Amino acid sequence: MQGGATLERDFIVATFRLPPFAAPDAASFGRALVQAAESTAQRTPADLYLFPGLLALGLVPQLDLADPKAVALADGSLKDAYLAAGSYAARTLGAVVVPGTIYLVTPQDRVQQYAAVFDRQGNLVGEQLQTHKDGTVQATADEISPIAVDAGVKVGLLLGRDAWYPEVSRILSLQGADILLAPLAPGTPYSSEEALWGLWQEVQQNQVFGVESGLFGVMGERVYAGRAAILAPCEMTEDEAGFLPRPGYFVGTGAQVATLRVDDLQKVRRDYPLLRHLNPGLYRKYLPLIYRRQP
Amino acid sequence: MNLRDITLQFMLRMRSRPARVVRRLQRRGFRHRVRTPEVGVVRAAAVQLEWRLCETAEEFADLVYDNVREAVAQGAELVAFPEDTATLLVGVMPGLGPMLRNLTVDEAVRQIGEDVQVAELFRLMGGATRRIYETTFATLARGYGVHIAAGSALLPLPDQRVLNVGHLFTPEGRILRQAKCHLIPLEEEWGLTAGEDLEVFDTGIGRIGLPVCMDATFFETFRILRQLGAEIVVLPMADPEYPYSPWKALRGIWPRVQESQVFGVQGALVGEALGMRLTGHAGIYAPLALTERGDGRLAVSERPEGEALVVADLDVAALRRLREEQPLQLNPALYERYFPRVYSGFWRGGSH
Repeated sequence: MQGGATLERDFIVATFRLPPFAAPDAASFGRALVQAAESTAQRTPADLYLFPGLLALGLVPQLDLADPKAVALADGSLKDAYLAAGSYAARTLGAVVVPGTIYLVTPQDRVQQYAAVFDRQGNLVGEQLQTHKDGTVQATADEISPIAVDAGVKVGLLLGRDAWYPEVSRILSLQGADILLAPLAPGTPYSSEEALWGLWQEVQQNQVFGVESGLFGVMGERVYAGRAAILAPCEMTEDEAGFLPRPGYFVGTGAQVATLRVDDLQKVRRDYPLLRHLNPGLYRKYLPLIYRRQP
Repeated sequence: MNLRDITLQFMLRMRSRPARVVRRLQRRGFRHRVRTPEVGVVRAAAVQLEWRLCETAEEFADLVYDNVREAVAQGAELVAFPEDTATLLVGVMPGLGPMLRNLTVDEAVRQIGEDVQVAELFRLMGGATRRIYETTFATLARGYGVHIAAGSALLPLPDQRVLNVGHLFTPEGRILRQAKCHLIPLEEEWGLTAGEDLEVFDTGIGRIGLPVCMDATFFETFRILRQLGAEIVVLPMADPEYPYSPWKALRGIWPRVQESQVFGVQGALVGEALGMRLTGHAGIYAPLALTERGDGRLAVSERPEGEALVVADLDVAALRRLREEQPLQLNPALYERYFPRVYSGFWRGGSH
């Protein structure tokens, strides 16, 4: 059902802020994911683990991201290793896993960003390409859909700059995604204002949960400044700040864990049914055709 | 129309005679600004106004005059007032002023009849409100030679629907209007109707959009305005949020300015108003890259309560450069594929 709630039970999520690390092969990368997850699992086993964007590029640490041809050369083996490691981690943990993102290259030498989602059995249950261009990603997808990851749980993936284009979150949430996942690797500087303008806003204006992971540190020529956070509508969080684990964006190393409580979310939506105030008559007049217009 | 209605309309007409307002404002006089505007830069002022009942047209004119004079003294070419500025004029309605000292507007209207909606009050006094409101702001815009975004007024259409309408008065005497397109629940209870059009107005100081308050909760409003060519978006606000929450306040104009690369100028109504407790900051906002501290704020009032006036320069030339250097990378093919489908679910009354 369009716009229908899908979250039917409480769901524990873990998200990570990690530095890049070199991994010689899929097996070692998969083991590293499991090890990171288990450090949180000893406290609270999670239903879903979200790893930072581009973390899997540690499988090809010498990769020159400025050179699409170099990315293309690594492409096939990188994707195979990424998928194998993700599946292994999900199976081993018995949890849903998003093993970060990788770059792929089109036959026209244009870079894409890609993420995969694995269910508790390690099956590939969803894939997503970034839908809005940025400085590196020049080939984008025109399709985006929620991914069913567990009974009664649909997630939506926001890759790279997609978290700053509210159209993406609106499309995903109106299609039933109650949890938005953003595995990010933002370059430096990544200020708190820029973070608040990203996923935090999408969570608020769609009344959904949001999980952001972040790569930080140096990889090749690039410096990353990601953060981690588990977000919810202001009304259901301490101090109305919109962060489930306080005090806010996590800038240490390691994991954040929180339970996404379905009753709390439904109460927020019942008390203030924000999306009931959308004005489809207005949008129908202007959208989507107005996007073709050069302002 | 019975004798009582005829008498009431006669009294309202007498109380709202434009000549009363014009005389009052002319007596106070206009000293034009001395600042020569820089090319490509617009100095804007945003008013944070404490709600109060005005029982005469002169009282309202004085209040507006004082704020405009102060803004002009600081060199402003654009002055932005809060949402519902015209509701200060409910005190002009015979007998209503004293009632509203002890009752909410809902309770006061129910004294007329249990099933009477608040919209009926604004329908009844629409003509009087319009005369005082338009005469005041038009006279000041012409007199001072400035653009005044006069906040909004609850006004009836000829077909009797009542809308919350934002207004912009230009020095040349144009009156530009924009109906609020996303109502808050209270406005729906009051019987107001939402607008279904958005417009960008070409003015002597730039291309301006005029959405109203709750319109900024939805990214669609600003995106449409940006695509229609807006560079400055003036947003009058009256937020019934008490106590004030800085986090919830972040869900309005600030992110919309970032998403759509426009300037945002927000007047705020505060204090006790018609049974609500209003809080909020008057503020002037810009894309992060165009602000000194990188926080997207050019000028924001110190407190979310009490009166204030904030002033800042909008460097429209710098905004245009930013848009060229960091263009929005929109994906029309994606939106064309999904928007008709996802919004149509809500058109049929869907919800979460």
